[in-house]
Amino acid sequence: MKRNLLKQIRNEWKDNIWLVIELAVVAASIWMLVFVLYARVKYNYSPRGFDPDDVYYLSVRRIDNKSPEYVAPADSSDVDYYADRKDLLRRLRENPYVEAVAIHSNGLPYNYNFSGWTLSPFGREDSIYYMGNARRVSPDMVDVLRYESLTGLNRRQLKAALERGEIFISDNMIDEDAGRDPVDYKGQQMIMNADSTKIFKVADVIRCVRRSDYEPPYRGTIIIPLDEDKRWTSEMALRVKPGKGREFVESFRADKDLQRQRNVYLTDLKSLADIREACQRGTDVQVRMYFVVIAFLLVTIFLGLLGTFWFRMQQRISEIAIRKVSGATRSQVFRRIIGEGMVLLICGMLIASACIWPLVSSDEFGYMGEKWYMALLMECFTMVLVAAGIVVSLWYPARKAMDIEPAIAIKAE
Amino acid sequence: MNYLRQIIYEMRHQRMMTWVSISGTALSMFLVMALFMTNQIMTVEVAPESNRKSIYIGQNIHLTGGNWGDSSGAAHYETIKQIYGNLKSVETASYMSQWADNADINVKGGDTFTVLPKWVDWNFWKIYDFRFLDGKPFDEADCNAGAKKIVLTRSLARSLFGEENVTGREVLVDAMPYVVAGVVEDVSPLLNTTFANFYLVFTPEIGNSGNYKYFGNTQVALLMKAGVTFEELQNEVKSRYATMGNEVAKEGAELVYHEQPYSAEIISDGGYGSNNSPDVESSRRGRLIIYAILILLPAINLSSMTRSRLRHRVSEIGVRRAFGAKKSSILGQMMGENMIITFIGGVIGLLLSVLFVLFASNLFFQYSGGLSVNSLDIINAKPTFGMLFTWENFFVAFVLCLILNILSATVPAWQASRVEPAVAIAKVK
Repeated sequence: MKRNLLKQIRNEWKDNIWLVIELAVVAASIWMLVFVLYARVKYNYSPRGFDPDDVYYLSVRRIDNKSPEYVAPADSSDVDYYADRKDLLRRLRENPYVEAVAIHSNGLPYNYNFSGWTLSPFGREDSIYYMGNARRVSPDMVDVLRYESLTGLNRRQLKAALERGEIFISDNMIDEDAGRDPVDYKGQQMIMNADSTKIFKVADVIRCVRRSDYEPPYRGTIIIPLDEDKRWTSEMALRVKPGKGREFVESFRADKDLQRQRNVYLTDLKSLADIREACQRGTDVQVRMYFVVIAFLLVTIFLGLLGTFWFRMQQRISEIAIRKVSGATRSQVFRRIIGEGMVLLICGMLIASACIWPLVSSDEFGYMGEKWYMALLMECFTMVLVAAGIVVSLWYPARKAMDIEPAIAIKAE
Repeated sequence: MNYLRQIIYEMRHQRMMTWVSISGTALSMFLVMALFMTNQIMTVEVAPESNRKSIYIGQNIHLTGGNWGDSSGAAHYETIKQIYGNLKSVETASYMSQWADNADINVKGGDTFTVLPKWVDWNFWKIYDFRFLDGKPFDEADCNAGAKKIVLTRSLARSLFGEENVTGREVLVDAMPYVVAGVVEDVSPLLNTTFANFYLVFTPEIGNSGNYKYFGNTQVALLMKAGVTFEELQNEVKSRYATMGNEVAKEGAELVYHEQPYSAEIISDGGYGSNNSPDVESSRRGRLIIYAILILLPAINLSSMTRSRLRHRVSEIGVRRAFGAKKSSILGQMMGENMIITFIGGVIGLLLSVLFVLFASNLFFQYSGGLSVNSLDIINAKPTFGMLFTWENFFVAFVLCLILNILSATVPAWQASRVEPAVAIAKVK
């Protein structure tokens, strides 16, 4: 039976060679696509270093004294944007839907800003020991983004550390620091940006606050405290109570006192979810596009095999009729046709393997930073996917062949 | 006419084959044209960016070492001017803001709209062809004086005033008063460099935002002189980078060059940051591989089916050959028949691709360079019909049909035309 199948495939080699080439191209393409897709989305499922749900962004603006909207102070000593902002912060904190509010500069994720600051241990400032994305935040940001301590500190302890003017670093470091453990720096005095007047104590090591869901941790994160009474920044972030986002937005828009205090006002309210969508659209659409191309490739296989085997079954009516007369069961006829598709797939996979393995193992690709067996796993997955496509496409021609009535078919012939 | 009747008979007789062939062709055409058209939109020349292929954008600066650590971002006005000012290859340079946060705009006592501003100089209105519905752009004197003038887009003017003829009236932008200088037609958010909801006067103070040395909020649009190549422009810019790099080196830092200035394709592609270089070649290579796969696989399918179809007609071909039909006429007929199927599938695929690009492509493609986009409205913007209705698109669709036809029918038709009449008729018996 098996020998006959191979002989039949060999006899129709002119048609089969094209099917094998098509299967090889499709399998190689799907294999590469699923591999790239895996490498692209896997970080989506690893810790981000923050909790993005129920977080909102607000822009803080000052009204210039040249504006007709400017509220002139009772006396010149009364001009204080910080006091106005503090009032707004207090009102927001009193809002029943709000859990925490903080001011920040580059504190929120979902943008690709990188403010690269360096840290060197005090006394060894001649070389850089740590580089990270400087995120300057007021202590309440601990509650807004819910930083994750890697040494077991709770959020209250983390906030207290920021209030004392101490900093956090994250658990990841740049390549040249290989061999050093960031946890070793906990409790140490560090010099920032080689400026010996800027000395900070590392209070804790937290999980890296990644810039996006898809991007692997990009260098380290340095969390630097920002004093709400003394430092101006145009960015604010807040966390609402779980699921109360819509209620908060409505209450904010309806309450002018929440939006403005004398010469400071809040605007451009956006959810972090929307910021995330805007920031990651490029990768999101790329991932969707990969799925579309994979679907196209499977549909191509479906159409190709369906068309070719449809004709093939028409040509083989008498042959199938004779086999049925000779005792072949309906399932044997079905299995024979599916078997033909599987042999073609194996031939296609062999060609695809010969093309893809040298490529993915090359220095340029380097298994896309994965282990070699991930490439093998993706190959197996591809084979199963294409095999399923083959079974679906051959189903209808095979059913037709199973239903051939030997007497009628031979008489017609 | 007989050929046409014959192919219609064949299509009706072999319904499964017809269905599979047409859908395979349509699918291939749909995907290739959808990809091609969305890619074309990135560089399509429509107002106000009608000459965007001659305009290059200078933006971003990247410093490493010294006190800068590893810093990159939008540049200071003086930095941009030092690198891109008075270049020999450039006819006109327009300085503008590189990024902007949404701003509040309202008429006193009216509703407030939080929308996107852009600060531009007088040359901006010269190198981009905005259509003014009312008023006029601000001029050099306005920019030098830092005039509080504003140009509104049509939809914003309507939202604020309920009409478009509003020149001379006052609006408040972030609580500061501005006088309307003019109203322009809305700009598609897909035109990254010119899109905004309103335009304000660019001044060095705006471009120096943040008051950091080297860093700020300035980019420059460079309209090249006629006959100048991009390489010549880039070499000039590289030379300026080298000069400025020497100055920066005195501070113990390094100025990193990232292939500036950028074409509309690079800006739209958005696959770069202020601290890394665009890799447009890799994007193009990727697209070519995808086009090849999308065309070759259906061609193999169609070729395989054409072979099977012609095998059914071997006796007919044998008889026609026996009665004196030339090989070339058999070849021509087979190619022609296949072209009809390809053409039907091609038209269906093209229509589907136009509908897809107009209504759903933003779910699968990103038109706006995403790094600085701060609004979902911009991200979700869809192309207009005018952006798709280009002769280039129709020409490519036609060529694609021809390629598919040639790839899928040449070998089977050539083999069929070489059938010996006696052998063909004997085989059938």
